[in-house]
Order: sequence, then C-alpha cells, then structure tokens
Amino acid sequence: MSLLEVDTLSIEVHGAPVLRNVSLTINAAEIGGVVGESGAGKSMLGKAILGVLPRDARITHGAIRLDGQDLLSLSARHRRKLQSRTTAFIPQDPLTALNPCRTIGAQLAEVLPPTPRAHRLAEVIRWLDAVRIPSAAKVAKSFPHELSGGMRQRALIAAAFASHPRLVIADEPTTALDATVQKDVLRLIRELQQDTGVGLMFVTHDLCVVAKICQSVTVMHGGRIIEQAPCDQIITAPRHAYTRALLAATPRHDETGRGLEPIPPALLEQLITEAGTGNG
Amino acid sequence: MSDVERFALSKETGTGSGLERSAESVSRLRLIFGGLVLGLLLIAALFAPQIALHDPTLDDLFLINMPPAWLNSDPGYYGIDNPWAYPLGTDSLGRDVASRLIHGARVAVIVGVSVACLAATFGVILGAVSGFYGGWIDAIIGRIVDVWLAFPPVLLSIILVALLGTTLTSVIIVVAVIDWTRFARVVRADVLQQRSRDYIDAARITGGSDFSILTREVLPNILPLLVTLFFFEIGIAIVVETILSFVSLSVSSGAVTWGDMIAEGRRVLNEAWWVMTFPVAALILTILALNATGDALRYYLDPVLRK
Amino acid sequence: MTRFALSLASIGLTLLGVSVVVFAILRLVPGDPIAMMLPPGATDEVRANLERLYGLDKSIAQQYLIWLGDVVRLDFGTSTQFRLPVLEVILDRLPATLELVLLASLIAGLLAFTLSILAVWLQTPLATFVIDGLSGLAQAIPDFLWALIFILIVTLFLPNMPISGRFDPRTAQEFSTNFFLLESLVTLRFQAFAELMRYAILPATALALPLAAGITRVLKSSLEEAMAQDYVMLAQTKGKSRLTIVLGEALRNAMVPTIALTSVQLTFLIGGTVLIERQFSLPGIGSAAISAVLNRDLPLIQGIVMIFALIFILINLSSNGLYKLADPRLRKPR
Repeated sequence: MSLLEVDTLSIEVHGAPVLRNVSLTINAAEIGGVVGESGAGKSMLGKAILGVLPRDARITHGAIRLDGQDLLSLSARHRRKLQSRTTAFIPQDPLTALNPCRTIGAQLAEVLPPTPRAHRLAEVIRWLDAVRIPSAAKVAKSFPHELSGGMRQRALIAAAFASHPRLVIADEPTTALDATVQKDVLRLIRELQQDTGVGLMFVTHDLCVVAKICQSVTVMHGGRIIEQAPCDQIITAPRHAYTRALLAATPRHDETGRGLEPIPPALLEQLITEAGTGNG
Repeated sequence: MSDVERFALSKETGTGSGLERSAESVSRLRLIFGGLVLGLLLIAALFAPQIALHDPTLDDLFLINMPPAWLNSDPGYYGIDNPWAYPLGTDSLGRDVASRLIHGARVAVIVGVSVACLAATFGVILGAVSGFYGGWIDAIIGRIVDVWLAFPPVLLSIILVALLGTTLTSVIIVVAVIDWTRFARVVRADVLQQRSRDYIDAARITGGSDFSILTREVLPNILPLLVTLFFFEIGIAIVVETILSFVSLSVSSGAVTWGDMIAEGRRVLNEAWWVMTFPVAALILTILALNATGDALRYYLDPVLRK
Repeated sequence: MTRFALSLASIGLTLLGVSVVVFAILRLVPGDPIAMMLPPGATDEVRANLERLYGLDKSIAQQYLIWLGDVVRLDFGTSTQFRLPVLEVILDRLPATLELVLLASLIAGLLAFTLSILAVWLQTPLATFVIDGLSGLAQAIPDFLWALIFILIVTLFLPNMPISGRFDPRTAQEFSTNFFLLESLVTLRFQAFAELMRYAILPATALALPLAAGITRVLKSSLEEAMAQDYVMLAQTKGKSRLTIVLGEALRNAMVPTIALTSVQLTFLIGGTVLIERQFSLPGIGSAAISAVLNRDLPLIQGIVMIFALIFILINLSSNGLYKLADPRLRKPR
C-alpha cells in the first residue's frame, strides 16, 4: 500500500475545472516530483492533499488516501487533527509564510510532538541545528524579519520535519531563493527526507531540480496529467511532446552553451484545445 | 464624528471584500438615497416660506404641545378642525413643528455649504502648499495642524462662538477655522505621495510651473477624495451648528434652527416627544444622505475604485 | 535616547503653541469677565482691585508670561465662577470624565473586537453585510446624536432608566474618592457598582459607538488582509482551527493599523465627553467647560483646554509606543 494515493481527483473553482482526473501515488521514503508551468494545477493539488483548499474550490470527484485512510470522508475537524500529525508543508515564499509577530522558536515549538515544557527549547534548538542554522539559540528568540530568506526557509523546513510527519509537501521551496542558496536548501531537504524516511511530494516548475532529487515524476498541464514515469525515464526518454518541450526549456548544467528553447506555440495551442475539450 | 483617517483607510477597506460586482449597485443605491434626501432638503431650504403652512416663529397659546396629526384624537380641544393643518404637531409655544423643520433646513444648508467651502479652500491651499514645497513651510503648517489637533474641536467651537458672538457668520467662520485641518492633512499626504510619482517629474521636465503642476497634475488626482470630504464636512458643520444651539449658543436674530428645536424639545421631552424627535430624525437623515452621496460620488469619480 | 528627547521637544513645542492659542483666543476677543463678577453699582475702585487681583491691569505679553509660568507649575489661577483654584475644580471633576472615557473605551473595544473577529471567523456574506452596515451607521451618526436617540428611547419606553447624573442622590453612597465606579468595584460593593453602571451605561455607549465602528472597520479589513497570508495557510496545515488562527496568528498582525486609527479616534471620544456630560448632567470637566464658557470663567476654560490638550498629546505619544509592542518589526534591532 502506498503512503499517498490520489485517485481521479477533480476540482472546480466557481464551476471552472482546475484539476481533472488527477491520480498519483507516493511511497514512503520516496520523493515524487510534480512538474508544470504556473496554472497547471500543481499547487491546487498540494492544497487539496493538505486540506487547505480555498473556500471557493470544490472537489467534484475522486479520493485522497493517506495510509489507506480516505481523507475526504473524514469530518473537517477529524481530518485537521489527523493531518496535523501526518502531513506537513514547506511553502514557496519564506517571506510571507512565517508570522512576523511571533518568534521563530515559538512557531517551531508548536509543531513539536507533545514535549515537556522544559525540553521544548532544547528540541527547537536541536531542529534549528539540524537544518544548519548558525547560532540556533539566538535565532530561536529572533523574529522572522531579523533573518535572511535562506535562513527563514531553513526554519520552515525544520518546522515541516519537526512534527514527525509521514508525508511532506514542498511547494516550490527554492523558487524564491538565490541560486547559491537554492542548492543548499535542496540538498538539505533531500537529506532530511532520507534520514526520516518520509514520503515527499516536490512541486516545482523546474525539471532540472526534479532530475536531481526525485524518484518519480508527474508532469501536469492545464489541470491534467500529461505524463507519469520514473525520473530517469522522463529525463532520458520523455514520451509526450509537452515534456520534451519542458525539458528543452529547462537550463541544464551539463550542457553549457546550449540555448534554451521556448515551448513551440503550436504545441501549446494543441494542449490548450485538448484541455478545453477533455473529459474533465 | 467622522474623521479624516476614515477616508484614508476606506481606500483599503473598499477592496478585498470580494464584492466588487455589487460595489456598483451599492453606489447607485447610495446616490439615489442621498440625492433624494438632499434634493428635498434643498427644496425646503430654497422655498421654505412657500412650502411651510405656518409662520415658524408664531406663538399660539391655544395650540401648546399639540401632538402630530395622526395621534391627535381631539383637535376640537385645541380649537382647530383639521389636525393635518399641523401635521407634525406643535411645540411648547404652540409653533408648528413642520414649518419650523422646513425653515430650519435653510440655516442648515447655509451653514453646511458655507463652512465646507471655506474649510475646503483654506485646507486645500495650505495642504497643497505644505505637501508640494515641503521644507520650512511644511514644518510650520504641520506644527499649526498639530496644535489644532490638540484641541477638542467641539469645545473649541463652543468657546470661540461664545466669545465672537452667536451670529450666523461667526458660527460659519469658527467651524471653518477649526475644520480646515481635515482637508489640509488629507491633501498634504496625497500631494506628498503624488509628488514622488513619475508624471510630476515629467511635467517638471516639460517646463510646467509649480502652479500649473499643482492644478493640472496633482489636484485632479485628489478630487474624488476632496468631494467626499466636502460632503462629510457639510454634515459635520450642520451637527456643530446644532450642538451650539443645544448648549444655548444658538444663532440669534430669530432664525429657526434644528438645534433650537432639539434644545427646546429636550426640555419638554416628557410632555411632547415629537418636538425633539422630528428635528433629530431630519438631522440623522441629512447626515446619512451626505455620507452616502459623498461615498457614491467618490466611487464614480475615482477610476481606480471603479476598476 | 535622542529620539525620545526629540519627541519630548516636539511635545513641548506643540504644548507651547497650544498655550499661545488658548491665551490669545481668550484675551483678544471681546467679553468682560470682571463686569460679570461685579455686583450692580460697584465703584471703579472695586473694579480696579478686582482687575489687579486677576492680573488684568498688565500688558498682554506680561499677562501671557505670568500665566505661562503659573501653568507650568499647574497653577491655572482661580475660577471666577466657583471661586476656587482651577486645579482643584478640575481634579474634583476629572474622575467622572475619566471613568466615562474608560467605560466608553472598554465598550468600544469589546464591541469592535467581537464584531470584527466574528465577521472574519464566520466569513459569510450575510455576517459581513450586517456588520459592515451596522458599523457604517454607527460611524456616520455622531455621539451627540446617539445620546439624543438614547434619551428619546428611554423617555418614551424605559421610564425607569436614569438619564441624568452619576447616581441617585437619594441613595447617597459613601465614597472616599470621586472614582465611584472603580472604588465600588475595588471595595467589592457590587450592588452599588450595578447601580452606578445603570447611570453610566447610556452616556458611555453613546460615546463608544462611533469609536467602536471606526475600530471595527480597520480591524476587520486588517484581519482579512492577514488571513490571506501564507502563514495562515501554514497554520491550517498544522491543524489549527479557524478561530485559533484568527486569534493567535492574524490578530497581532492586525493591531498596528488598528492602534493608529484608535489613538486618533480616542481623542474624538475624549472631546465628545464635553457634550455627553452636558446631555446626561454628569459632573465632569466637560460639563464644567461648557458652564465656564457660558459664564466667561476664563481661568477655568484655559485650565480645562490645557488639560485636554495634554491628554490628547499623551495619547498620540503612547500610540507610538504601542505600535512597537504590537509589531516586532518596528522595534529597534538588537
């Protein structure tokens, strides 16, 4: 049994479909990438799994199972309680994802599993050390605005793993960071994932990042799945034209000097018509 | 009392409610309500002698504290045949409440509009100069505004009117002198903001004089806000005039004011509730209409809000 | 430290400006306080003596400097109306005003926080519409008119509800201070407290409504803005309920704009006591101010206006400190 099973999930916002028949599985101790351009529905998928869909979004079809438990059949309260212990989220923008009025320590401490008050600070510092934040004791007492973007993202990563989840959903966790910081953060996420053995769903627009850390990849466009395959197969032998186009548009560090190719307009056109007339 | 901050902040509160589609229809409703009430007020003010059934200052000892027509079960007791000759009843001196209400609209309109014009003129000029030139001019005007804001406005107007004399002119001047800061603060803040924008630099480069930049580039941008403030100021002035009457500093020389009616009605409230109720209701309706019109006009004049 | 000194200097300058204006408007306009104090048929000598007693025989500039020197020592002179030192009159009446302001602020805060948190928590169009409508109405109508509306309603429908004074003189209570409400609460005389509240609730509510509406509007829109932030979504994934998020995450972030507006509106509320006290016959400094104006009691007017100005300036100053308490980003970097 897989850790996460999304089964033919469809979501509408104000009657307009944003996800159509999306199915995907992620196993424990595995990183599954979800790739697509903005508007592909990949963030919506993450929110649906986490149970934080916007108010105007409606699930019209499908199921989301975590360890075989159908999340959509639970009451909102029960689901919230269950998922607060089993799923965690690494957001895209570290600047707005931390409450500016509360200390890093306080925001980290609240996700810890029940810990005696006296040990909480030690545990917070241990986690800040684990994500390689220097002078952790001082940072624990700091407010978000006193840290750099990279440090904040590390703190958010610590907060995601500190609750000992089974599944972590990372939504473009490196997009808002400097290129040099990106690499460190990426490595950190993979290390923590390997150490803790969680399942990780890595949402990104960057196939290059996916190639580095994922075992399987789901390519999305216009709210539907275009292609789903093991990572090396996607990179070396993409079957779908869109995936190939996405690959061509991605900078690759091994082939320096080669220019980037934009997605051919004809292909885009074809995809858009497909999305419009599909079985949504 | 409504205040400046509200306008500055209403910009933010207007957005984000997710009800943009209904903003249009709400604004239309506001304009209809406001226009209707203000139209009636204006007609009453302009044609008071023609509309009013009775002389508003005429005492009649036989008609003391007569209730409104629909509650008047025994008109014969007061020696009249048709109670609808005094539709809203009479006060403790037997004067017709309806006629006084109509004549009172006159003073209300005169005071409100004059104060708003005076305060807006002073406030806009001083605020624009302060914001546009900055430096020591801004420092001095800013300090004056600070000093002004350190006084309770109502108490200050009571003191000034008591000392200057209770004429219509002094009431108008006093309220305008106290309230110009409302306009000055808003205009200054807006001019400061506008001044830093590129189109002002562009106007400078193409050789516009300071005055033409102010009048052509800056003022049109703050006009919607000014119109709203102007309507609110009319309401504030009318209320302050009422307050002055209420603390026995009424406009003398026999003019009928809503404030006088309210003060008089408060004294006889236990015997004749209608004497105070109708002018209070007229005042509230007027204020709500002014607020509604101001808000609606702002919506129609401001292209950013409409979008 | 230098910033503190600067703001102190700024306050001093504003207060100095206030004192000049207060002195000027009361001296340069017509009106003869001496004539009002003189018995009919008094001789010129009596008049001259009185003028000397109140220092009216000196030049305007001299009078101002003497007056300012006294004001700095909190000596505002002698009230011509009460024949008592102005400070004594003010201190005697200040408690009634302060209790009114305190109660009104509490009511305003309670109403505003309840309504805006409710609106943001429920998030339904109906709740939003009702709360927006109520606050719009409460804000458009000034406190003076709310007081009249309350008086009207009480007179017509609730004849047992008091609308005049702070307490029933027939059931005279023993108090050692003029803070009746606070004292009855501290000394645990709850029945006396309830009785005093019956007298205080209407004027305080009339005063509170416009402020409550103002706070509601800002707080609600600030809360809505805060609830759209990413950290709220993150808090949802941590299993917090919506109410917990509104109270625990959004509220503090919504405080800065709220404090900014509230401090300005609080000065309006305090200014409003002048009329509310008169309307409900409360023996505070506001009603004293009006009677001082009507009786041309110049020293008392000057003293009361200076006290109001001082309170206003202090409120604006303390709101700056409150921002920093609410938002760590405004604190000095460590």
